[in-house]
Amino acid sequence: MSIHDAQMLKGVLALLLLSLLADEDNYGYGIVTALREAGFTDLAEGTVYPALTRLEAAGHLESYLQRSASGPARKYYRTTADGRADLVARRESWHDLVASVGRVSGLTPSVTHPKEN
Amino acid sequence: MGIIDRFRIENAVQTYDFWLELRGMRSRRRKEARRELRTNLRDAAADVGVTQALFNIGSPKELAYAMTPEATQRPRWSLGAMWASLAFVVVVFGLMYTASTFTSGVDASGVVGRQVTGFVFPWFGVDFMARIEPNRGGLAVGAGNAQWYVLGLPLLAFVLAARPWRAFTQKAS
Repeated sequence: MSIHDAQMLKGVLALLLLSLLADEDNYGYGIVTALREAGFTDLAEGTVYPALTRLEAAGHLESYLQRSASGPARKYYRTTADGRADLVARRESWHDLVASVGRVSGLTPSVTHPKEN
Repeated sequence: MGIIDRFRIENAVQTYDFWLELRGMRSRRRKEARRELRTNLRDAAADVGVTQALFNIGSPKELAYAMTPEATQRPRWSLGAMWASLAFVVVVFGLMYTASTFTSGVDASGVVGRQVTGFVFPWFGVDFMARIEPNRGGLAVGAGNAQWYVLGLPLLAFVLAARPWRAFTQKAS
């Protein structure tokens, strides 16, 4: 189980959510599950759900209802054009941050620059 | 999922809804928010159990605050109803207790066979009545004009807590 700094995690949460939803539409708990499978095991639903709402309010995400096999309809999220543009900006920002931190701390960045498109 | 687990989830959802309303979220959006949280909680409960699912969302109040970073000034109907109910219970209990005490006083004074009417502080305008029949033959108790307290105080509590004038000031702004 990995433990992440809560403040650091909040700073990149929008980047994580937009990245996940750029690949595939998903609903609240499904997103939480995907993040946990990716290693963010300490990420609580109480953090993710408000972040989704904020991104939707900002126009970066849009939602629709889809019936599930197990019960009532789920609210699925997908990225909008604004959201995809914001994702590109956030990825660049993240890359710059990692590079800057790497220069100061002597750590070698292990991430690659995102594809520009 | 058992009835108790469903109740625990619904309790969390309704608490969340209560705080969303206090934060000024409109009823249509609250309905969507309730449905989404309920669905997510049920999915999580099927995965990790109800207790863990509820633990992971944290306090419904804090979740509602996080969902609504900026509260809007809207009437708070649920809070009004809660205070009105509380005021109703207090007033009815107070009236019944006072009437009972008044009757005991009449009984202790030895007046029997006729109706005694009187005022008891602080129930201004309310006529408490008691009639003790001779030889413990029964008693009659009443409180006239109590409707002003029974209806008026809960209504006042409702208005003060719900702040319905916000509906008009918001439309005007």
